[in-house]
Amino acid sequence: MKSKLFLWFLLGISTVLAQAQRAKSPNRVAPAMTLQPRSEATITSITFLTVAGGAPVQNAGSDQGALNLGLVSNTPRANANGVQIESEKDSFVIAARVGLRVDLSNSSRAGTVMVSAYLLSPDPSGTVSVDGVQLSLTPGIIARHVAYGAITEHVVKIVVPVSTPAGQLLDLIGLIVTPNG
Amino acid sequence: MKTKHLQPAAIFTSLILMSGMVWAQSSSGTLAVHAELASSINLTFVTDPSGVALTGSGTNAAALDFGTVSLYSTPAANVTQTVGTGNFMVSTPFDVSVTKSNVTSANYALSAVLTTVDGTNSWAIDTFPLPTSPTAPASLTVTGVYASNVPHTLHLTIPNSEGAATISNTIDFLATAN
Repeated sequence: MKSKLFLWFLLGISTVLAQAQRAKSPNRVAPAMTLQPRSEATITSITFLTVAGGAPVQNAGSDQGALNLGLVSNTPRANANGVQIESEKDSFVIAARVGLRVDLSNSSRAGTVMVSAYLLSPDPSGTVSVDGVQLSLTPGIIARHVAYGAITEHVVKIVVPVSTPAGQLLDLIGLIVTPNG
Repeated sequence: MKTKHLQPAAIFTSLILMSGMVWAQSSSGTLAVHAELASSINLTFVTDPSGVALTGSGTNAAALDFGTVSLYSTPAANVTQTVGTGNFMVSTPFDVSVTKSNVTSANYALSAVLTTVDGTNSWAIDTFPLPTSPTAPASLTVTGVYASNVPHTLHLTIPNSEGAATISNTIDFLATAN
């Protein structure tokens, strides 16, 4: 009895895998039922947005955004173009709010994603955080449950030591969205 | 009979497994954050331990009040009065703190100037008489030490012949990174 059950289980897996293999063939029509989820997963999109009172964010292509903080210095300011600056003893903090939306092409699909962030390259001159999570080269979770289609606000902060030479600041923040099972 | 029930169960299980595999896939994006970092220095006035309390101490827009002064009365606390020939002078120390950020500079230069002409009284800081704008400011130091409260003394000389009045003026300070 147990062996029969196991055999049927294997048969079930092999059936589905076989269908998935057939779907790759251009000469065959794939069953819609099994292909649809794979199609959805490949077209998850991330959009960076400007939120009310936030810093201007430009969408720079698919899943790409650009946040320009403009001219900054160690001069405190409450909010100018969505950018705040606070002075500290040996550094100052630049803070800006940005919007994020994760979409699926199939809008009927409900669900949430977990959002992680990391630095694409180390920042020797400052410390970067998103929503209080200090970023490193290893992804850290900044939001555990973000609904598809919802715009969420996130605070990007950069701590700049006073010893950092004047010039260009550039940080590349990578985001990873993982569907919650 | 049991086989008929098990077949859909197996397929269902397989679909669930496959579904799990699909939904575990992640997507990624990139946010480029750019800024132009400018160097800056910051000047603040600080109450000196031996001086009168500044209104707005710790900021770059402070007010110093000598209180009521006269030739024959005792000045307020932390105000020194010196009687001269035909005039008297009141003095009090105050501190200036200049900090630097994102700049390579060993020290700073500090200068000051009156904003309003005062044809009756004389104003000076330390040993330097203050001119009135738009005349060039008086140089107070060219080797100011960053991030320290550097004491300076404000002197106001009042002629004995001057009638009772409120005396006020504004002094602009300019710190320049060397």
